[in-house]
Amino acid sequence: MGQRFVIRVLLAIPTLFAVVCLTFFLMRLAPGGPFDREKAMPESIKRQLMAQYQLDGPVLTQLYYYLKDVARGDLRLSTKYRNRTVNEIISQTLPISAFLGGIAFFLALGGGCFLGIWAAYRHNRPSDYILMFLALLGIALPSFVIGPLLIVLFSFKLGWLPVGGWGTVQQVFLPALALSLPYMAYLARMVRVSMLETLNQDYIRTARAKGLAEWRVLYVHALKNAALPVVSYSGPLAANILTGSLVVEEIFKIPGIGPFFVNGVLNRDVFVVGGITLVYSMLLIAFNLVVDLLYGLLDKRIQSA
Amino acid sequence: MPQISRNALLRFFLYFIFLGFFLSSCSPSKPRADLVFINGIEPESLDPAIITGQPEGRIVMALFEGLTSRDGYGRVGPGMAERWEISPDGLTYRFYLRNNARWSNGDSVTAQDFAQSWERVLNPVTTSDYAEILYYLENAEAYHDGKMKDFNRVGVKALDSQTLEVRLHDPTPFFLDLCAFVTTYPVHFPTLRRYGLDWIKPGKLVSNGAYRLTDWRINDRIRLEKNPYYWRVDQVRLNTVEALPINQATTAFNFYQTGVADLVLDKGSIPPLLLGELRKRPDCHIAPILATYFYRFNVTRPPFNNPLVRKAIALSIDKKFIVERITRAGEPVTGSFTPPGLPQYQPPQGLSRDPDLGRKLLAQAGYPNGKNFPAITLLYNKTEQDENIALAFQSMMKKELGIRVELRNQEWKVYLNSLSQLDYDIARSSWVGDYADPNTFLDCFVTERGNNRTGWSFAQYDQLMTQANQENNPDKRAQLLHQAETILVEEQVPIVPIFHFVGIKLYDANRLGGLHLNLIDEYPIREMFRK
Repeated sequence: MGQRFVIRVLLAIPTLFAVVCLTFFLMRLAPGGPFDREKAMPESIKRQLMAQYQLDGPVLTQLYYYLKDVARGDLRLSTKYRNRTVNEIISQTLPISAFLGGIAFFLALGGGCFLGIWAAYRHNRPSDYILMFLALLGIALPSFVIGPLLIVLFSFKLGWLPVGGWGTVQQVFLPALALSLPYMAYLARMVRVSMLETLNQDYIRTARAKGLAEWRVLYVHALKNAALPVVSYSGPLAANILTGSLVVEEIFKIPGIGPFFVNGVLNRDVFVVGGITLVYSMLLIAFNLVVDLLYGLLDKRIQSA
Repeated sequence: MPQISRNALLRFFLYFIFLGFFLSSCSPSKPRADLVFINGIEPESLDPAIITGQPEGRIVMALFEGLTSRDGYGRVGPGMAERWEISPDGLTYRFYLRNNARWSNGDSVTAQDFAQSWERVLNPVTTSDYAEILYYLENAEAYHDGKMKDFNRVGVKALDSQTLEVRLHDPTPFFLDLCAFVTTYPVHFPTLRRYGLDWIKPGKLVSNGAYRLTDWRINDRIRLEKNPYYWRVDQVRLNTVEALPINQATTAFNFYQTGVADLVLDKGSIPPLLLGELRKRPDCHIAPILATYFYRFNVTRPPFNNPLVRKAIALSIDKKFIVERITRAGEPVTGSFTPPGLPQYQPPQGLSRDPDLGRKLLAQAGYPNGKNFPAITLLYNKTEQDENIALAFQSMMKKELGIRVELRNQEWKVYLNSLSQLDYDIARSSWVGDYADPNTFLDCFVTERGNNRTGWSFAQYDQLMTQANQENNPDKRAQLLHQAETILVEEQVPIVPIFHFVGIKLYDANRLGGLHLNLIDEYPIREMFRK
């Protein structure tokens, strides 16, 4: 187990290397440069800027120096926000996205499991149908529809919660909900299916025959087996929530990392995109590792395999 | 892992989340600023020498002040300079700084501060995008290009700590306007030297304007507080101001509508779908601004190397349709590139719509009814409005001239690249004036200017522009500029002006005062007040 873990971590290094190289190449090969502006700047100044940002000369040389800086943990300066380092941008915005994402993650996980179990428990009864219809709706509606709908309902009609912004607790509710709803819906359907399968098995009948309380049967005995697909989904889920927060962050004006990633591409802000891609990749690798570890804990057969 | 503990774990997480919610919902929120306004996008920088955009400019204008400053009507008046003298030939300016000009740390603002700051702007190492604002100074361009290394030969000199002498190479009637422009603002060198790139961060920045910077969280907010050392601090009525960067128009509108923000200054922050409704509301204020929407031709390629073809197309565009059916904010259609309303200048009429004449000219150029006309493309960057205008243009060309236009939309940076590489036939464009003078528009199309981007070069136009800028008599100068613009929009037509933009502001005039819609589209915060 330990050895496997170490190998996985070591394998991450070439992966990250490839990610940085690819991002850099793609950004540099895309037409249009970071200093193309609506108002033209003198050619000499543009050259000076490219030199200051070490974006002149052959692309391979540029990459070489960039990689050297990245290896030292220096993600360089943004070409758009010219007084900001990429490290500064990431360290100010990532925690906010991570916090929001974390809440949405647990909301999706908790809510999805609960609703899925409930639907399975009430199999083929009206509440099952209603829940599953709502879940289908939740999957089908993208966050740029759900977000404004929540704002209309909770901010404009009811006046309970602010329309957006960041800093108070009230401001967390709607974005966290908007971000988690599609995943919660997906999870609910997933848990329902795997729960239905589990509930038909003999050991559940045994548990019930033992006279265990129904919630114990559901949440302890059945969920343990039914949760395996949930665990394997939670890695991609965490990644999706983290990288998919852009739309929600824009709708609710949350100063997270999402807009920097997308606008970075549009602005040809090569180092911002490079830095964020690197951080995202690291997180993805970490999530996958955690999922593998969890899986091993839940299912002993995988550990030995 | 014992089974019960996993169950407990799940419950723990749920409790944790909800407990967290309710505990911190009691946390006190910060007092609201006297004015909260929506400021388009996150400022790229707050360094006066670096910034180019309006959202940056608004904050920098609140933080810093130049030799002159604009009032709430957009008029130029004294700033750090209390008074000035202009030599009869209009070439030498002597600015006298006021005694009580101070930085926000109490230091005096000196003439040396200005001279040094201007050196910084012109120094190629600073890579200031807007250095050309100072090109009117003697030898400034050569210094900026690196052709001349000695700054002593550039036309700015501190005679003593309160007197600044400026020498221009041509009489520049709008020079006092330029002295109110952000690029010419002084910066505090001790701070700059001490903190390097970080000098503009809160807690470090030392400024000389009505406000000082107390907070700047990326993409969240900028908070300003009255600067007690400002020379007319007694006239500054809002103590605290917050600027919120909001990208999405609907989000911006939500913030305004629920009272989180008091003021929306950008047209881009207003949802286009709501425009029709909003225009009827008393808190919606619309007025023309110094900006023009136009199409440009790549005159280096056939068929647009022929002025007849360019004119034929210009004559066949139904501009009224575009502003009434597509943009719908009350934009005035135009035949001229320069918007009306500039002091001492009346722009030419330009070409009005006349498809019959257009067809005739096209036939003269050898394409009767569009026969044999090569396939041409219209380049635009993809926004909904630009796309709709492009579609309208496409059908107008087909209907009036029998020309087939293909549409090519490109992402912003790619589009800019295509423009400067002259890799297009016709391209959508817009231009925003920087100061209240026709030169800010007409200078673009002088041969080889970076903003020309049409390949158009016309000796007579260049000559008229040079003459105009050497002319000290305002009437004669206006006449020369008028002649030049007539060539641009009526005779040679490398561009087709379509409409002038309007600015749309949202604020309740019963509660917020000191804002007067003006052409230059600048609204100093120091003049605003709550009613």
